[in-house]
Amino acid sequence: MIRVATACIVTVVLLLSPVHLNAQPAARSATTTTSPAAEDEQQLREAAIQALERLAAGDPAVRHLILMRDGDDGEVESLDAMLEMMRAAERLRVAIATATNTRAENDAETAKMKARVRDSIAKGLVKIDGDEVTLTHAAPDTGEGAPGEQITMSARRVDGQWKLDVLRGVRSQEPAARAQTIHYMRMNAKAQDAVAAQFREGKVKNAAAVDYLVRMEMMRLEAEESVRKPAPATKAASRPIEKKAEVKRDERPPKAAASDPLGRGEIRRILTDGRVAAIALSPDGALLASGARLAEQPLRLWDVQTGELVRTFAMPAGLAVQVNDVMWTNDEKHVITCGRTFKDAERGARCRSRVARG
Amino acid sequence: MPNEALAAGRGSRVDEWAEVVDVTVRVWNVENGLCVRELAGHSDTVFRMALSPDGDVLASASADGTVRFWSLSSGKELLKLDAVKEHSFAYGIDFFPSGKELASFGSDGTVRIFDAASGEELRKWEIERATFNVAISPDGRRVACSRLMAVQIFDAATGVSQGALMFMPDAGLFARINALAWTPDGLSILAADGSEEDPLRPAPVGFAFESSQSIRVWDASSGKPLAKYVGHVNAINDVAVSRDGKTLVSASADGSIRYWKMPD
Repeated sequence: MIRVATACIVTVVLLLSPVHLNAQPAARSATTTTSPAAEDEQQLREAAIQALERLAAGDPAVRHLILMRDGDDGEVESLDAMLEMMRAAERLRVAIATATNTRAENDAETAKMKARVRDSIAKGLVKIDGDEVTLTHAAPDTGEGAPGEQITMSARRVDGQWKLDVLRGVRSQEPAARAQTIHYMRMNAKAQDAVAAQFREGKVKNAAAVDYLVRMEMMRLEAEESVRKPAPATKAASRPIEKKAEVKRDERPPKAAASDPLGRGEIRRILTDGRVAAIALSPDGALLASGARLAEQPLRLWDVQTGELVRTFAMPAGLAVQVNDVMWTNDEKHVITCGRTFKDAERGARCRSRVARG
Repeated sequence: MPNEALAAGRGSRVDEWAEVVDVTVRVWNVENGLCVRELAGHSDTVFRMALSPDGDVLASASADGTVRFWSLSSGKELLKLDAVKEHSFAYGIDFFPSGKELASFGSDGTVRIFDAASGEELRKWEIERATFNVAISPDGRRVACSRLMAVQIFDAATGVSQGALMFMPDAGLFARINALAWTPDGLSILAADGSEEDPLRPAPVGFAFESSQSIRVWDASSGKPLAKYVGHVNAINDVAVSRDGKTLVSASADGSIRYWKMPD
């Protein structure tokens, strides 16, 4: 359990999106009986609850913290990084919504959010006490600790702004793992901001591509960072990501070699030129089918007893076949493959040679 | 989301893979090495397949968001299921041993159980978006899902989580646990993490850290770790267990196929 010092107070207000404030004028006109000051207060309060709600409900970052184990210090940094990541997530969400949602959809989303907040209040999950809003969230059971452990978050109003004050019920993590998590969260925040910018500039319009874009952006950032400033040797232990990235900098995708020592329990090793994506044992167990991504021969059959290659297959001429999955028919007379086929055989060949070089 | 955005979304995904000629499922004759049947219909890459226990119906899960059923004897598309929400991928599928039901999992974080004959969605439950594969136990009563850094088992009828989470503490933060399999006796479960990128769009160098490159075996009821196999030097994409449960085979992006002795 941690107690977060006031030093790590972070504004939740930043989490609030203009998208949700779009619908506010309508709400304001509906509440004609309240004074302007009371309205503002009401709005701020709603905003704080919404922010806390979002914090607890959908964000993988909360899960990251839940996965953490008992440790000593460093929680403040963790929490900081987490909030940084969540604020970026919110900025990204807003950018996507602005780029792709209609006004009506935004209003509907806001209405939904408000209904959820009301529901939470009704269930007693959100408590409002003067200038303090507290939200209790039952953490999903990770199997790593007490099931149904609860997270309590509270926000406090300071100088007209709601600030996240206390976050309780989150376990800490061992230092090396924590450093990695913090590093991940920081990178994630940067990547999300970069993708949000792409949405704002209209370079991207596909909301479905978000996960992929963020992932690629993180990889790009990681690569940049590992080249720009290799981790100092003294800090290597606490920065496992950078350390490994640095070692691999100039290498090709790792390939197995016959000279590598056999792993514990390893009986046999078969080396191929491609990246093996899928394997399937024939129903009688005598043959093994393997499917690969852009190998010279994407589909092969192996004798399980001897380990020898017994068959390759006639692939379409001039095309590069990528096999994602392979399967035997019950009568063992056929194998089935799925994946995709590329037109550009030359590029496929380039790819093959790169894989082979590595 | 407005229709223009939807259209733009689809379009950009197709552009991305402009060089893709087809996403055809192919049936190959083992005797002569020739392609004897092409099952065309999907509009984006096909991730995984499953075969009905009677061996005639093949199901395929695709990035186009659908799961399709094909008759292997006629080559006809029998059913098309919208297996995920819009803009999501159908990642994993598996038939139940009865052959009457099929489980699918998509990038929208939902496990759906379909009637294999009518295609009707019977039940569904949400897990987590970062889940990459499903495997149904040999007795058909449990569904194993590989999720972020862990494997979790659910009751196939109710969707309630069963037993302990099988944790992969050294799995990479990005790592997809793609390789997932039950032993034939249904007592243990295996998983290996790997996060192989597309070879045509490789990740920047230095990203092998994403995978722990190890295969783990757990007791499926207690979650107790039984074995860990280390040796692959890149992401592990698939695992298979021999029918007698004594040998494990693994396939990796490092180009190797390895045989391992299973724990007794």
